[in-house]
Amino acid sequence: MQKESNLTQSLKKLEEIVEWFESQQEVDVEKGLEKVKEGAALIKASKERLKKVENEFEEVKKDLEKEVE
Amino acid sequence: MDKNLLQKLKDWRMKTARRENVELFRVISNQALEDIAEKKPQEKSELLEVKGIKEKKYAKYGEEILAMVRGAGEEFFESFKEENKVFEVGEYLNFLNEKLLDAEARIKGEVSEVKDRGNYLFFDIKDKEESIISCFIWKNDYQTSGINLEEGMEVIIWGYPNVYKPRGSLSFQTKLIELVGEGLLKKAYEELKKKLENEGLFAPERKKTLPKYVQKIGLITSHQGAAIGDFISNVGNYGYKIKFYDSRVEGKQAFFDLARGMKWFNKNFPDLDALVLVRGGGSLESLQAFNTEVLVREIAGSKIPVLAGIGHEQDVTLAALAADKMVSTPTAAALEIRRPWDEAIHGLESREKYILNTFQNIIIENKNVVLEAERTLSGILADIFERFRRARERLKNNLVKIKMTIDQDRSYLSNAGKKLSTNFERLFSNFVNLIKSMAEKIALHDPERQLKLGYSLVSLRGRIVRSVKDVRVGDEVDVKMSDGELRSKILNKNYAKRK
Repeated sequence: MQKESNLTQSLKKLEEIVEWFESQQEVDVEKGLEKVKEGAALIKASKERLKKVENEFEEVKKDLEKEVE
Repeated sequence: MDKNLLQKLKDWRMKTARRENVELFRVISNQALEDIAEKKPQEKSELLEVKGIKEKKYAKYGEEILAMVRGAGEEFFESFKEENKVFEVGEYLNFLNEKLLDAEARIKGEVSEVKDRGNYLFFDIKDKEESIISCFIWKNDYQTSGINLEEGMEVIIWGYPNVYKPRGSLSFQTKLIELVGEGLLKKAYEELKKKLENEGLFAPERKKTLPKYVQKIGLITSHQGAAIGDFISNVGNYGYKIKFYDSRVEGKQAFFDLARGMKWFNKNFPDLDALVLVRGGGSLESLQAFNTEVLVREIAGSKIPVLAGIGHEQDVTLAALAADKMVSTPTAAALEIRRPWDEAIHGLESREKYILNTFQNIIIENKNVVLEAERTLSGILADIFERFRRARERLKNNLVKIKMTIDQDRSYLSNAGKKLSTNFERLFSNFVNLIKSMAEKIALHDPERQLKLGYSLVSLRGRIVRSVKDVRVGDEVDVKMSDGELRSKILNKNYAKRK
């Protein structure tokens, strides 16, 4: 859940950066660089998350369930 | 703790749960089993001290449990086979009922005499020869079957015979009632669909949204079918955590497993991102288990969003209609989960490109501005340098000239010095000679000397008289002599003749 929401957050922030660039008539290089740096970090984190990761597959043991009073 | 005994107890519980068609914990809890394996109660009173075992449970399972604890599990039943064994009544009925479990069967017949007793129902089924079986079904199981028993209805019941001890009568312990024939099935399907629809269970507004990036998945399907393979091989590798609940998806057991799976996940893993219910396509008859009210209510009431990928040849299953998201195959369900992840990768790549390109363009633009400025500046600078160079050149040239001039002047001066001294000497001697000659001339022309020679100076009123014209007759003039002066009076003037 944590990781997943991170990905959603990262992509959202990335989208905001894209929008920021789109909305600027004339981009301040300093600010632009800041945004690029931020974007690069987000992309790196997201790529890390989106790397092919083997799935965990587990057949549940039905008798290990929580007891019902 | 006696591990062997615990295992024996668990095996017994598994068998009992299957026989009674209930969840394991409904027979007896894990904790109670462990307590029994630990304390090994020998008598009823000791067994009743175990938490979770009260009179009711004891009445049902007490003797069997105590027999197992005594270490005579199998032997307890084996002993009944002794030829000369004499049974007590209840003892024999226990033995008989155990044996009757093996007579589990599916029986087709026509329903008659339905009596609803609240928690359970009695009904009979008969055939054309008027053979009758009295049946019993718990309300839960009746609801799981998802049909409304009516007299004259043709059904297939599944269960096993059992002698009801207080009365000594045989009744068929029914676990499931299925309808026979497409016509009835279709009618039941339509009726239930209408009923649940009116209740709003399929309404779009009550559907939950699946998280965009589903990761923790509760998968409910059969271990054997093609569906599980289709799902797993198409869902991709994004580090999903898949909890798989093996459930029959067709036939009598499916009626129980499916709803139980839904319930089980909601209770034990409520933080799953999605429950995925998949099965390959089939006829209305083979999909009966997906068209029960019990399952629909479990799905509609699930706290975890449900994604259904149930194939169907004719009508969409009611389970799918109740699901939060429905697609038509297990593969489609897998892709439904996978797509956002794939898109995230593409989106990420395109965003990365966009940001970098945009920034690169900005840099290039700015670079051009800088280059432009640099060019302008360097032009100005070059100009300044050029002027400076030229100035220096001129300065240098001038310096050379100055040097030359200085050099010239210096040599001139040094020559001049020499010349000067020679000239000066010459000038000086000339000067001396001049003075000498001048002195001689002065001496020669000294008026005093002239006077002494006999010349005299005539002046009129202080002025030297140089010409006859300077005086008039009668003027008195002063005549200076070497030894005095005379005053004379002009008496006459005679002009000398010009030569």
